[in-house]
Amino acid sequence: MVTVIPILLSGLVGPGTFLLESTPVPIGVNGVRFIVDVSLATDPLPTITMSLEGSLDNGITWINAGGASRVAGSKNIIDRGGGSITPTTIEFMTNFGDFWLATANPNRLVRGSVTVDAVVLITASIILLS
Amino acid sequence: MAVLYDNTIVINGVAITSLTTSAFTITSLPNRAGVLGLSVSNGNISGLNGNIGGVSPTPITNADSGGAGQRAIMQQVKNPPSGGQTASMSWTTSSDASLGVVTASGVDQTTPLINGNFANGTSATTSVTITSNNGDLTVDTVEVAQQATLTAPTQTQRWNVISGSTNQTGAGSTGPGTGTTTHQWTNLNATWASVGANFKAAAVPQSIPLIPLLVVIPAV
Repeated sequence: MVTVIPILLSGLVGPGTFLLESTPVPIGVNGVRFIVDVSLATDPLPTITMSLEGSLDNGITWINAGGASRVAGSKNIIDRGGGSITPTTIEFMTNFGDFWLATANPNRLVRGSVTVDAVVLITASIILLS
Repeated sequence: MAVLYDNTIVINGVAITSLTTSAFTITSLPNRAGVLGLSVSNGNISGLNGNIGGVSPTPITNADSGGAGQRAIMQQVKNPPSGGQTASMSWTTSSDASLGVVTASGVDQTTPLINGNFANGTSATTSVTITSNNGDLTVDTVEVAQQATLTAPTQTQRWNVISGSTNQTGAGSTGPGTGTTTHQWTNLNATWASVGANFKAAAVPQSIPLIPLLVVIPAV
């Protein structure tokens, strides 16, 4: 089962930080994909930072639940053949750690943010995995 | 004293220049150490900067496969703090990447990881051999680019993940110190890079033999 939670609908945003407010995490969820769609963004990209926090006690305390970033620069990356390709997303995925392994905890919440340091056309969402 | 495996954490990403793991718990047992295992599809990265629980790593000699394409690197952290911690690594130039972390206790605190080695090639089997001693714990980090996860590890799999755009796969395993430990994985005849090293066991404290003293008290 996957649950898609939008953070930013497609549009020109930034510079600034855009928040995912605290959201319940269903029992059985054991991982997450945090996706920033940059397919419509102009090249080069600004610096983009993705961050997630999780709570095991209904929001009383929060712990890190994964994060990633990329510095400003060309959208292109080197592919396995040594050539250049243009990814349509920037993302991270994890299913390890104290938060994501607590699959039977009914009191889990997740919150997060996307930060960009210049105006960019993106969409952002997280996908809860189970 | 034998090295005791503690915990593993992993995170992977697409077209990024840093990764930060979820919080994970590190043992409170003494003589702790950790290894950061980074796998990237773009070997042209530089400027590595990481930590486990806020403690910066140092390189492990020969634990960097190099190369412009698939590249695997391991760095060591001495005595990371116990309890809930995170680990992170950043670098220049965006790449698909995975970051795996292994922590252990009972590790030598002068040189926690030794006997670094690396190998690379294009074949159906990745393989790296690590020299070790009884009581050590060997660890490897593998990078391979293809559309299938690495399979059939010859040691204990700790992580095995695939990242999107370049189908980059990163994996890691641990094995026992047996003198010579070989870490192999099966893949679909792709280009790969593999690095390994071993957690060196802390020296066993020397016990001081008790010498019985005979005290003769003269009778008064």
